[in-house]
Amino acid sequence: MALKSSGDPSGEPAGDDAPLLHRLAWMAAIWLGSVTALGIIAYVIRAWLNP
Amino acid sequence: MFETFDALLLARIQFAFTVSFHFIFPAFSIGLASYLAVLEGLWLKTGKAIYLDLFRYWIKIFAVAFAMGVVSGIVMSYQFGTNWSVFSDKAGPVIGPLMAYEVLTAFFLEAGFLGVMLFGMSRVGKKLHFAATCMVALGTFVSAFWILSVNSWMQTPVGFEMGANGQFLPGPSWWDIVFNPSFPYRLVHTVIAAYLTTAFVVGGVGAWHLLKDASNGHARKMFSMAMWMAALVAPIQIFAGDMHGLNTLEHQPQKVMAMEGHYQSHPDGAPLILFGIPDSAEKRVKYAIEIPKASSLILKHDLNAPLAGLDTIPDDEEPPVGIIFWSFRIMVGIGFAMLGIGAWSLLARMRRKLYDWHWLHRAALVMAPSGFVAVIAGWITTEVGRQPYVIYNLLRTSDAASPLDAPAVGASLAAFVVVYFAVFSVGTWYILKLMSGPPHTGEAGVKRTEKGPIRTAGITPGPTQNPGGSQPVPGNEGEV
Repeated sequence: MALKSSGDPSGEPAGDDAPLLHRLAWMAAIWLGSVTALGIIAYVIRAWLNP
Repeated sequence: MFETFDALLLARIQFAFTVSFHFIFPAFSIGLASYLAVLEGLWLKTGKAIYLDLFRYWIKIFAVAFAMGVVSGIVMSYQFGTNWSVFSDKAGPVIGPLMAYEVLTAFFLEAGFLGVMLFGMSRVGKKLHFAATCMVALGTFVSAFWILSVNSWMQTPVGFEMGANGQFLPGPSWWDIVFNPSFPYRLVHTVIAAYLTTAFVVGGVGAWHLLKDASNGHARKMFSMAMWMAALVAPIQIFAGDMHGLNTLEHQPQKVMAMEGHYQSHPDGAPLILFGIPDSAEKRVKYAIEIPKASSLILKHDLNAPLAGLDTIPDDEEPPVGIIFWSFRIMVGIGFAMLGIGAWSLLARMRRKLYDWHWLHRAALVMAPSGFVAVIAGWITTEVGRQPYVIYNLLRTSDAASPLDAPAVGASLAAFVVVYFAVFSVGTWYILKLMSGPPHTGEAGVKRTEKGPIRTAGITPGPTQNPGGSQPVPGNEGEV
């Protein structure tokens, strides 16, 4: 997946130029991915402790 | 290999080992999450890039510490089932829902928004990103809220009914259980401890870089912010600790007797034993250095107030005095050392020498890990002080363990020791490596991207780096 690099030369990250709905969708997607990742880790540990 | 060991003792060692290891990380991440929220908020409010640089510097460290905290925490909750199944069975109806709330918080607030915090700046924009950072900070606090509520209920159990099968069942009001008598004091004392722990780590790292380069503006800023925390919050923590102690005296008097080393009752005012060697066989503190009547003054606000000693407690209900006596003094000693550093920094600030007094920087560097020692010592005091009970006065620790043989518990303990030292040593080494690099302008974030076409394969040159420079680095702004 292409990662956009749209900051300005002052070093400030950008992203505010995208529509709000677009940004909220990204927020939900990253949030869901993070929760899923932790869920997988928790399940693996559970399986290890109680096979 | 473990046949000659006591299974209960091994289970207790395992819990002590894993919980001590675990708590190091949340003690750091609770404070660091709030610090990151403050830094990002200041960046959005002032527009000064130094706050974004510091945010990017610390978020990498936060990510590693947070990951280790979550993973070691998952192991903790599973351990209730493996080694403490009788406790889980009896207390589950009360503590189960509270722990479930903690897990939900950890998953959906902390871990969920951490992804946005680490990788989402260029996707969600500054304000939504700041909202995610605040959610992570809130999540760490709410997570601590539920865990401390559970622990406090085990220390001061109220609001329950005993079932016919010996289970602790919730009474008519959950609020009585959640806000049990010791909870507010423990919550305040623990959360402030986490903030101070983080402040001294940040201060220590700032001091380290000031000793190498006193002109480093980023090191100056982080050192200054940390010293404000030390100066303002350390006195509050000592006051909160005193209030917590008074609450403990009311609800768990034998814990305070052990903390004070009071084997004997003192009907006419009890001395404050500063140092000595507790001898539980002889029921006295050897070589005691004490201040007459000072303990009564602190605990009862009256020089001549009587204080009961451990001679009023049956021997089989006494907690182990030696451990509690010393862990309490380590915690209090570090608390006053933190107060001293805060006062020293105020003096330096008043004389406009905050960044010039190298002995202050050296002292702050030495104190960098002190918060971790203090919180572990504090938890040893409160957990060992609850013994021989796991639910105070109601369920003995010896009656709460799973019916396992020593080899089973010993094998899992050995596995935990090996895995924890291997995994967490690497993590801690990486955190120290990150801290050893000086904070600078154009600080790189968690993930870096380049301008120009996306390279998808082959050996590619890395992005331009500017580790010690003072100018912004074009192309270094892709992700936080």
